[in-house]
Amino acid sequence: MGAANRLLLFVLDHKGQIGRLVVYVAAAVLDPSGAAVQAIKNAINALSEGVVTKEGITQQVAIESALAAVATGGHDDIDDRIRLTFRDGDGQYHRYEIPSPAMSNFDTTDTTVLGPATQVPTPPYFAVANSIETYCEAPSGAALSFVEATYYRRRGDIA
Amino acid sequence: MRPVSYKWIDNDGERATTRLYVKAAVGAGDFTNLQANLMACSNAALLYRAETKENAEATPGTPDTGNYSVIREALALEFRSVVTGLLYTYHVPAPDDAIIGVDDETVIATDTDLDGIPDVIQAAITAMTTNMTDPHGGALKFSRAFRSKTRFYKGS
Repeated sequence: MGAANRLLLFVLDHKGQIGRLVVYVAAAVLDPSGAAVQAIKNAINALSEGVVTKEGITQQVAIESALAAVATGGHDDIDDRIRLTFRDGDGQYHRYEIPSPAMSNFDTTDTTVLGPATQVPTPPYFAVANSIETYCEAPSGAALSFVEATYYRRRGDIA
Repeated sequence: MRPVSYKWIDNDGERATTRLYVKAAVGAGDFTNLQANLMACSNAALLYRAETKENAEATPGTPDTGNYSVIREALALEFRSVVTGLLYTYHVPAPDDAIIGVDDETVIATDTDLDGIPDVIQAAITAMTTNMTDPHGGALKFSRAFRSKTRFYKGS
């Protein structure tokens, strides 16, 4: 948990424009409909001709220590990517990118092509795709189905 | 649907973000599984996830009109961190007519209790300093208020 959480407030004016105001609240404040956020919202409403229409709390959860966890090897630049493509129940496509792909994702004979599902051991991007299908959804709430994975490099100038 | 951003860093110190939308029912164990699979897939380190919870107001009310009632106009509120001494300025868009004078375009400065906070914003400032912190969790103290322009008025 970070030392503070980010609170984003959306303010609507009479012309239909939306302004965004970012402030910070204590790390213990996690509920955007809770008392602390509502007090700030009410304060903004009192100061403004506009009205607060939405509040969002963003909490950071630490996962790894960078120095301990970064690996090196082929495709270890942040601009090397695996792009995972999904289709949702409404027929729309969604793409998610994993940077610096591990070499275990690639074909054993061609390190510019992602390995197939039949490769042993199975390339780890398949587990990521399964996780996204299981735990994630489209912004609309529609379920996601894995379509394909491709490797690409965001810039062409990296050796 | 909850937006979640995963922040990566590679061995050159460059960063990247993978933004997903997780299902409402996803819990701590599910995040552990998802993150373990992401980490196994990449050479980069997964620094943190930033998870957003949103509350859309069911009845936000109707915006008022007035002299400065558009998003680009702002009431700038400056706070000082009591821990670091750094200043943080927040721009409240479309300030109320009762706060900024039309003729001199400054915050109406009547301060009955002489605490340095103008009467017209006293209650709001008290609520903000009670519930807001600096980015490191330190308390804030009101510094000053003035008319300004918003820098960010694009939203969704």
